[in-house]
Amino acid sequence: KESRRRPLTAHNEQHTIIALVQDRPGVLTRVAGLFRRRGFNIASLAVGASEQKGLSRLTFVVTGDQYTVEQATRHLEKLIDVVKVSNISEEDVVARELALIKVRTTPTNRSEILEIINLFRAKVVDVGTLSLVVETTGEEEKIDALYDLLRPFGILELMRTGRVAMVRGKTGGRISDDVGADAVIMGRNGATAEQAVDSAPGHYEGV
Amino acid sequence: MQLTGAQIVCESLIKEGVDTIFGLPGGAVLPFYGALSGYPQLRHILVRHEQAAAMAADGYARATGKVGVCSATSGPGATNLVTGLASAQMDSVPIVCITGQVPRPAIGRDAFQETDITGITLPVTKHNYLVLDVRDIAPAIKEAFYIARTGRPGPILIDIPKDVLAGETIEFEWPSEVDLPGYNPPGDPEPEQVVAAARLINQAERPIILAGHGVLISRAWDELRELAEKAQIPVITTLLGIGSLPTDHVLNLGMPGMHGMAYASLAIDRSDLVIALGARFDDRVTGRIADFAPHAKIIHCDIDPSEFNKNIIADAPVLGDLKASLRALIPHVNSTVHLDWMQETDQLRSQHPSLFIRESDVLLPQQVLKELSDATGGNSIIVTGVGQHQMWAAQHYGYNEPNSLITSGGSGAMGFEVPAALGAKVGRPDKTVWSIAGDGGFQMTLCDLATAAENNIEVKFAILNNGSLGMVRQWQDFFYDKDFFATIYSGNPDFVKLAEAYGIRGIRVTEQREVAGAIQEAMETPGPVVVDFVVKEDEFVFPMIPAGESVNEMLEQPYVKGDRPGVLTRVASLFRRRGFNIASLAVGASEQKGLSRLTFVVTGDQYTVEQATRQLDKLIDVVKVSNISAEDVVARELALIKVRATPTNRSEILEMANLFRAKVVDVGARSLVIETTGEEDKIDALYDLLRPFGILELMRTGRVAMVRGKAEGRISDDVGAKYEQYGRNGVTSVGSSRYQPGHYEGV
Repeated sequence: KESRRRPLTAHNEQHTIIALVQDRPGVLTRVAGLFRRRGFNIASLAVGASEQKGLSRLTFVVTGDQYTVEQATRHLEKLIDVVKVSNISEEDVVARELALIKVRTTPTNRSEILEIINLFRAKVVDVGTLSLVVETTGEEEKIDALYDLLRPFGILELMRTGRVAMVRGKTGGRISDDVGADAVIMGRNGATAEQAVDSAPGHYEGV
Repeated sequence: MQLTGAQIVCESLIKEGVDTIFGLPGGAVLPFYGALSGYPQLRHILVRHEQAAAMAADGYARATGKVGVCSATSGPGATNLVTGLASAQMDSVPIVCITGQVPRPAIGRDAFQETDITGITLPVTKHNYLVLDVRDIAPAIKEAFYIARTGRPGPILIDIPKDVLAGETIEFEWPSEVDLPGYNPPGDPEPEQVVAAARLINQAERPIILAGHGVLISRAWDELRELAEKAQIPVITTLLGIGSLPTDHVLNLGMPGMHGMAYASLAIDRSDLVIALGARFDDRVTGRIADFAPHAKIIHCDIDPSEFNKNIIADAPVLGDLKASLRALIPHVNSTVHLDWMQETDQLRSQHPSLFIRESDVLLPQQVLKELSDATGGNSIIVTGVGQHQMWAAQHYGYNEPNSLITSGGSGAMGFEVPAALGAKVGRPDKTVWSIAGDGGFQMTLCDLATAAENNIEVKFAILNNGSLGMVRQWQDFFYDKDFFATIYSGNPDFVKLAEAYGIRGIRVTEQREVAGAIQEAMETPGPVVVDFVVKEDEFVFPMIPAGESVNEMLEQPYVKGDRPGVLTRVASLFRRRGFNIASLAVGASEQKGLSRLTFVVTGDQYTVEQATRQLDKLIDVVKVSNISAEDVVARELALIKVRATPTNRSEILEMANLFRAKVVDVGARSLVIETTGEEDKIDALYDLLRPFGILELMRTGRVAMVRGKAEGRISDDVGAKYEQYGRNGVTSVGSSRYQPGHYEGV
């Protein structure tokens, strides 16, 4: 019966949300504090300058169900310093992450490691007597794969930026901020306002 | 002209139309106070605790519709504001707080009276500022007021270091506009949302409006009334929505929820459409969400989209300023009536007299509120604290106007009653303001009686003094096995003497008959007055829907754990009320789960019996009534008779018992207990024969009777005299036998 009032979607789905925020002191604290307070689970967060002066972009990956994402988006929007929020999970996106991996090397296994690195078209950016640093960019799965292959050699350090994602431009040169589900109009089960009238109460279809 | 930061603050406040500031100075904020003393158009009211400053600003804002302003110093002065800020945040009240901060070079170095107040108040303000440059002061204040009062209002804190207040001087420039690309409060609703909502309203057969604080914030009470009257929809109000429709308006169905009127919660339970206007479906209103309004679709009109689908999924959200949304909605709503639904809600109201105040020798707190309501004609501003007295104030005062109940709803901050009342009176000197306190909350902020006395702020303070932390005590009674740990206030002061110590008139009331006179005296005495009403210690707030439960588990007065008020009480009162003479009564389980059988023997003539039968039939809990006097029945009664017995006469008694085939069930040195079953005459006979020996005790069950089965296996309920012909809704006795007992859902 609880399902009548809350949508039943997977609890560990990952959703990508982009927020365009003003560069004011404390904006990151406000956002992080909001997420902590409301109990939203951030899997990763990338922050950086945007193409507009005075505005930065934050890319979140939030773990949770549809309800969680909707709430996270709307509460983010309420923050005064947040200019725009888009949920681009359903969009056609280019998603990338940057990782630096420091692997333990010996003279004997170095070539084997380099072979793996070349396979992934990753770059070696540091060579030491006992270690190598690999730089790789790509989708998360690619980075995970490379990491798993390097793991047996011994990983000394790993740095990952977290996902950044951008909608594909297509013909119209679409901007990530301008697309994404419009959480505001959504009624029960994500139906439009029109559809909502015809659904029976308690008749839940899951989103 | 070159002004200091402190002077710029003053000038900016004047530009924003401020004329009153509640505050308490300190080191870091002293430059502001230095400037303030040169601005007589800004009235500063000195409080005795910064918490009072924040709550006074809150009460001022709610009473006037303007932005309330308070000020405090850094460190502990600022942290004392937090409770008031949190309460304003939860209830969406616009206030601006100016705090001093240690000088810029000292920030982050644990300076004297330094605290990161902007960090601390991030979760409890709508927005806040740490102003690090004197040029940023005016824009920050302009923005702060704009943000506080627009969209969903809320508290703003502006933290200004001392060396910004008292350092560089600049030319004062008031910005022409605010630049907030991230803040766009909604205005008019989307037409498609309005049309969808209107369609739901026009289709509904049992609609109900849930009016919340948004109606008052948006000043949309006329539109609410227009909508309700046009489509004849009953209106229930949340605690903070009280006053959006006058209490005595025919469509006002009261307050729902944990301590709301039973008929309001039951009406939601039966409705098929809930139209929430500026309400956020707080858990005190909904109870267990899975069982909230189980048959209803939901229209949710709100200015804050994060409230949609937060607690309750909305079938038709309408995003916008409520006044604009209603103006857009009303033309699409058909003018109609719902007669059956109106009758049903009326019936609920009469079946569940939640506001009934019983007779009592000890002064009841509910009675105090009721008499206050009568004495003031429902026209005062009532400011409450938090607890039982708050609930009784919400229930028993008849509010006529918007913004006449000021209470800390979402946060439930005790101690709100004194300072908020001061703020309300300062903002509305034309109104009578009563502060309703419990003895618990009153002691949290009573220091500001000094503020009342010093400024002659004419608030009438009523303390409902039960010597305990009442609401917590009630929970301990219901849910914690009556373990009244840490809720008994045995160290209370003499509140009358306390008031007099502040130079304020104090009146004590201990009896019911003194109440009206004391209220009158308080109102006629100029200046602030404290009235100490000594009330019954262990009174409970009813109805109650326990936390996490639903209307199905509601407890109504009188309190019987888990049960609804007894059928037997209803039946017995009916008989007493109508003067029917019950010769005997037997009650017991029937063959049907959830149904009992009562067997009466009524003495009287044909008229009496007919009336008794018909009146009984009207009771909702009564499924079926049969008069089997004229039928062929088996009638029995059970009796236990304790007879005095001595060794000498015991055998004689036993012989008697045997003659009647009665059983001996207890043998004592001086007595015997005899059990006998049979028709009444038989029992009477045995009793008479035993009487000479001396009867120590007699218990009789009263007659139970059942019609003989005969050939068809007849049931007692289905037969009976011709009065049954006039059964429910005029159905004949043949028709009525098709009623399934237990499937009654109310008439």
